[in-house]
Amino acid sequence: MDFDSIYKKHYQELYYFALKQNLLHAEAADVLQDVFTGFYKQLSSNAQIENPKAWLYSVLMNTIRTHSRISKSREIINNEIASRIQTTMDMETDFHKNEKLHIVESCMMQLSTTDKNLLLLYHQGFSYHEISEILQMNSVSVGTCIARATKKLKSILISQYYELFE
Amino acid sequence: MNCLNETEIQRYLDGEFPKHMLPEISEHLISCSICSELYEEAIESKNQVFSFLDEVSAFEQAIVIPEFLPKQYTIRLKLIVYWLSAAATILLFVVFGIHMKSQSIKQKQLENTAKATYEFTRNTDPNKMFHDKQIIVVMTNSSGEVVETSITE
Repeated sequence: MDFDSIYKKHYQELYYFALKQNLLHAEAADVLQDVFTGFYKQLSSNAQIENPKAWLYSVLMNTIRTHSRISKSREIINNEIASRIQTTMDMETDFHKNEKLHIVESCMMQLSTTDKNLLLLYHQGFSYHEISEILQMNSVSVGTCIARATKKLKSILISQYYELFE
Repeated sequence: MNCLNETEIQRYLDGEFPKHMLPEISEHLISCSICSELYEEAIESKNQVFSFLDEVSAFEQAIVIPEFLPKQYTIRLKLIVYWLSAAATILLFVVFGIHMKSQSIKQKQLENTAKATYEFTRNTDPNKMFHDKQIIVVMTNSSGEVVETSITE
């Protein structure tokens, strides 16, 4: 698979994944530019990348980790996330769906960063091995962490929005 | 077979067990009500969490994917910026050097063409401090001709 097709195939999902990491829109675009530049360099140097998707997510996570602006603009980020949820809610007519979206976003923010990333990657369909590589954790503990993170998220949902489970 | 723990149930649910172990686990799940209940519970939790995460994904609208700027252009652009910065710095030094040289030439001209002497005005109070006294500055050139005179305030 060549660079252009991978770029077009994965750009959007990586972009939304970056937004879920509390990045601003412009920051997400900047980070993705860095990620794909790295990917381009790898391909140009004929380096073997067995799983481009996992590689991209891994580099994205590392880039976000070293992104110094995240902590500096925490307040702006939170405001933008709030406005993003609000904007989406205004655009959509189905109130019930919007309510759920708001609930999920706010519940995800209550999880630890590791748990949140773990669940997002798990939801993206990555295998345990890929998740362990992306999050740089022991592959043996991925299953345990997923089970606990799933329970944690479910308990948050039940405790705060129990009516959804009735 | 022993009962499955939380991790093993999760691994089985996600198909992360080696294939040769699957029949044995399946049989155990049928025979053991406790493990079967835990497995059902894990499936339910997974489905609930996934359905909620799907809600978020459903709102992800298609975005305009920007054109990727390949490496060569990036490097070329960086080189242009570096060269322009270097040229600007050199230009700054050249302009500064020319300015300094012109200043020193002016100073040299003044030294060569004029010699400053001073004398107090006749009605100056001798009790005043030096800098309070009114003095006449006489500028003469190298041949002794008076070029300029000035009286201090």
